[in-house]
Amino acid sequence: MLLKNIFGKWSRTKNEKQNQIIKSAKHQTTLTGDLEKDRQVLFHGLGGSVDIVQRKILIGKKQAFLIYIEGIVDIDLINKEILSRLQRLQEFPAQTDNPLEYIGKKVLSSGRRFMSNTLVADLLVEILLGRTVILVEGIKEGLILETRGGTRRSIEEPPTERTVRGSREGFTEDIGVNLASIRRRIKSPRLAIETLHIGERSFTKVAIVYISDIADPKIVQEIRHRISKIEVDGILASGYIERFIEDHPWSLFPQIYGTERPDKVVANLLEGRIAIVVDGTPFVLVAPAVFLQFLQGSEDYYERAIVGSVARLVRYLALMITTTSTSVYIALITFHHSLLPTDLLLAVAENREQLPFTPLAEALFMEVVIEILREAGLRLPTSVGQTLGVVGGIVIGQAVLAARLVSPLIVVTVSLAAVSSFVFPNYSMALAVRLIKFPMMILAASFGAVGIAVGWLLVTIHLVSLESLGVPYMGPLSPMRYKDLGDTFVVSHIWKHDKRPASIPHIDKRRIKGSPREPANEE
Amino acid sequence: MKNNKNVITSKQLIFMIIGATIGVGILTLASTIARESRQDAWISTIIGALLPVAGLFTINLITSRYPDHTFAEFSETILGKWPGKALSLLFILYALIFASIVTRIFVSILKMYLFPMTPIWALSALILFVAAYLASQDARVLARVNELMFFEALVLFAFLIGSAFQIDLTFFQPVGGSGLLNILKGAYHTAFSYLGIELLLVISPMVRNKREIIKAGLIAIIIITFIYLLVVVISTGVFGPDVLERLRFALMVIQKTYTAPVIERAEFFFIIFWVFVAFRPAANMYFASRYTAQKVLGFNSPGILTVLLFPLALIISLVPRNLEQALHYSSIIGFFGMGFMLMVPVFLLLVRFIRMSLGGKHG
Repeated sequence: MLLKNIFGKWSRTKNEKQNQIIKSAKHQTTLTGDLEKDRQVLFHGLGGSVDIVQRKILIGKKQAFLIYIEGIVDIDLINKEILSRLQRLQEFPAQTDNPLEYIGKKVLSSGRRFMSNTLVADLLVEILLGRTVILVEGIKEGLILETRGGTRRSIEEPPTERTVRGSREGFTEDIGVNLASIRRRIKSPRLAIETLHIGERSFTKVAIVYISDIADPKIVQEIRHRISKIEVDGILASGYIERFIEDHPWSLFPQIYGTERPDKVVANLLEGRIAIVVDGTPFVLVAPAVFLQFLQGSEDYYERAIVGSVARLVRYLALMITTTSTSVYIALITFHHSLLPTDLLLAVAENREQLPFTPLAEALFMEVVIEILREAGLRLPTSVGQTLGVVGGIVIGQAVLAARLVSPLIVVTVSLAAVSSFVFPNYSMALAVRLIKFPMMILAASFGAVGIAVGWLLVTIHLVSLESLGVPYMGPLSPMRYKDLGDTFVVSHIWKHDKRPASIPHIDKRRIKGSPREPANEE
Repeated sequence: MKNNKNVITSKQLIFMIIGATIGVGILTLASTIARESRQDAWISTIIGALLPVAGLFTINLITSRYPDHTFAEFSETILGKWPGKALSLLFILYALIFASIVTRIFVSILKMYLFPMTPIWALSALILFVAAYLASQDARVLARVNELMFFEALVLFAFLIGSAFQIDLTFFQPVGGSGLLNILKGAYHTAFSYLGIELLLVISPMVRNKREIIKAGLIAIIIITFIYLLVVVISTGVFGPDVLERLRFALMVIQKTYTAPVIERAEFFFIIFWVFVAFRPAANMYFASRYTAQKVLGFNSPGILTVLLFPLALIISLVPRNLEQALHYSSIIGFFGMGFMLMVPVFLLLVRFIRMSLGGKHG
């Protein structure tokens, strides 16, 4: 019995699909044409909650019903356009055999989408999505009106990914708006948008977006396959989808790129990647992702190549500092004093004499303080957050020094590491990277510089072993793609990126077909 | 998708062979050869390169007849089940001992230069842990790490180039003056440094384009020889044979003599970068051992086998009492390495030939 349960769990996904099909077959109930009966069916089908609005109206002397859910519909539209027009209709012309079609085509010709359906289950879904259904006495069909609306957040500049030069537009929680802002940037018939609904209860719309003649169909298929296998009660954020489809759930590193910026998504689409837009989240997922991508900002491309390259090198430096500076301090103080210049060594020795803790202990103490400050600052409103910064950073820092708990050097090192961790353009990566330093500190305290080297080796091996949807995570470095190196540690001129990056699978190689920089190719 | 996990490209094969070969030998190579062939150490280095070339061709003789089978599999087909398994077991042990002794030499040097207080077992465990972690991954990851580390290792050679200006050409004269016999003796002593190509016994079925194995192998050997030549020429040119043969780790001493404006203790940084190079043979051989064990036991769990082999490797690495003994052991391993490079393939071919002519039917 128990065994059967376990096996049952394994084969659950298949069974549930079949169940759903059977269930939906039961939902084959259609409208009857009896107005009161149909209204009851719809009302109870929706659960009979208080936010369901049913309006009894007369359309051309016929009894009719309007049903929608409050809050997710555009109420202005319903009141001003639909109701007023419907009520103005005195009588149906004598020769109309289908009043619904007449309403749709003649009365409500506002250009909004409409269609009719007889299946109760379909009508319920449409109502839940924010559309309005009209039932008319004696007719076995319901008219579905496009009335989705309600108040949503307007388009703002994304707070986590600001750029100085570049679009100020960010994604919102509305999938329609988000897809539109992608579409507005790629006006090509080859921009493919596939949608599906995930979540048994939340019924969240998820869109897979790619450019059909650039993206590798195998990866598109893989993403489609993985997403369609998700069977969960609700999808609240794109992070859910990410957790479900990523290759290595136990890894520290994000393997799918989440961004709030439409321009970034479009740049990625043009490189052959695939975007996943989830309703209700301003974070759009981009896959397959490679490690180095997380260290690249959009300004690298928007500014001059030299400036962009320097910015990028600074980021790599910050990566080194944030992961290793504290461990280097520990290694130097514990094992390799001889590397320090004599004057500094004397100062350090003098200082250390008065300190009660080992270098590892004081470093861990300071790092934990910083972690707490960071977590606290994240939750607080901006004004309080600033106070916290001052109190936490300056007061604690000063007091800890005055109390002779830690040495001034470690305060400098740890703050430098903390500041460096804010350099990353991607928040998930910044979160992951700062965690590397803790094992690194312990390695440094046990094995000095070799410990740090070993730590880096382990991180490198792990990174190389990762894959994002079957694409090597450390590409273009490993496996080495020499052609991509122009856009790795530095960024070369934008007009030199004439081929799409080889580390991301794609179909159409050529990216730039001509530019004023090169002599025209005569072929 | 699962099937590609143990597939590597012929380009990656180059880096794997380099990774399996260049390691600790690079530090001791120059002085070991100079003891025999003095100023002609560089000639010995070139002659020594014939060993992996010969190994490459003999191994290819047998592996090209079994393009889809690894060592453990074809030795069983040729010798029969149990003798084949015994030979594979020997190989497993050889590869593991190779990894452990390399680690031991590596750790001894680390201890000598950086950690006088840290116990050997702790350092051994640390380095073997990294090797084991890499060995537990599939061949594709191993190949990629080898590739990436090759480029990281180029930094190491930048350190060497810095001291190339101090070369005194008179140290090489008279060319050939140490006598042919001594040059050959010197070449013989390079054997341990040139081991690594026997990895092909295990990884050749994983190479995607089998026709390029020989080419890739030769390129790898050329790069290895070039790097060794660079090391030997710079060591001989800077110190001269008289001093060189008294220095255990000539390369380190070169770094000490080298005074750059900012980096005062170059040998410290040299050692740190060398960590990235020296762990590779250990990792590659650990992988070969783990993979063969997997095939012999028919037990398809890389993680568990890696963990099972770990204590054994750690104990072997603690067997030598000191660095000199470890180096002595390494020359014994050299024999076995040559055995697996040259004798075993020929032996297997002979048995195969005899069985085929007796039985008449054999795939």
